[in-house]
Amino acid sequence: MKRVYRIGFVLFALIVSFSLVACGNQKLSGERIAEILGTQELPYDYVRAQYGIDVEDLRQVVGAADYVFVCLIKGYDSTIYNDSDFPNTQYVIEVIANIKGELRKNDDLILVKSGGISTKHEKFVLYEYDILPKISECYIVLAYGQPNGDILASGVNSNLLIINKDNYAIDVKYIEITEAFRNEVSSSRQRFKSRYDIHYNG
Amino acid sequence: MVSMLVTLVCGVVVTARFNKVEAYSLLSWDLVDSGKHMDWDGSCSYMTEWYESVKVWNSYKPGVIRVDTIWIVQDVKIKDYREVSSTLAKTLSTGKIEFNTYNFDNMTTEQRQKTMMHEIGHGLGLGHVSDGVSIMRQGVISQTWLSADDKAGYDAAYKKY
Ligand SMILES: [Zn+2]
Repeated sequence: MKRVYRIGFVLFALIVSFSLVACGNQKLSGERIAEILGTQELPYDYVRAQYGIDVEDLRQVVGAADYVFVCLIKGYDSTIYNDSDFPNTQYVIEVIANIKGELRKNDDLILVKSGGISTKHEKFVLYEYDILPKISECYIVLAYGQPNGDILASGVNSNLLIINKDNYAIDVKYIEITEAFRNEVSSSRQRFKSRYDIHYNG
Repeated sequence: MVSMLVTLVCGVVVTARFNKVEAYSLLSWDLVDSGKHMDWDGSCSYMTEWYESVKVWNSYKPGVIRVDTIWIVQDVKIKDYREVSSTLAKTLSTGKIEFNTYNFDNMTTEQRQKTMMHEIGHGLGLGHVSDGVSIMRQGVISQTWLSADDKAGYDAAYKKY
């Protein structure tokens, strides 16, 4: 009888410890990720990157980008890892105004942003000095068209918060970026059209 | 009056020399193990430049960066990625060093080597510097040698491993 109790106890302990391990590795839901993109309650692990341009010079960042636009971040779609520890966050956005290039308006588009939640969902992984967009906020996004038609915002100054949401045209960042666009420093490289480009034809 | 001036001038010289000594920064992490080795594996499209980069760092402190074998635990894994963006390369605190072939394919051998040496520098625990001619500054640069600041940074980082 005693022996049966002991086996029972061992089994119980095993079940408890297995379920604890399972809970520890539990992934967060999409809704939860969308929420903590705003609350920033997870720690940040900053990735060191080298850039081909001076990312502090907005004329160069605008020149390098294919699309510069004002958008509303409507929601979180998913995170992709592309065979790497480095996440890419897919946001659902709506373009409010195009500054460079012409993306579809009045439609839900997917914006890919370099950085996001880690594979184990225990931290955010992001380029040093970069910012992850928050849901329901407005940003100026400076993005690159990808060969597969995606739009990618990658690196420092690839999304700038619009504080004056109701009147973006008088926001200091909007004024800065339109000024940078007038004086853009363009780099020659192979460029790709986004599938959301109004001139896209496959 | 003269002695005051002398003191002032000496102070300026000492400050200037002190600033010179501090022309590097250290990260809060590194990818070097407790045995003071950075053992790497993986591969990328530009292995010649990678081996050269390892060689230059090892010529300053021999034997620290080693190719991983089945007998030792890997600290760093290198790989390519391809995306249209201005990022040339990145180093993750989890021990991954990744090179963007979209940009690497259009760079010179020397520019690729500088970029790889720079990422190895992060693995060794070095942070960015904003001025000087260091490997640890940003940008597409043709430099295949370590500056005095890079070496000083490495010396300081080495003491922390
Ligand atoms: Zn760096």
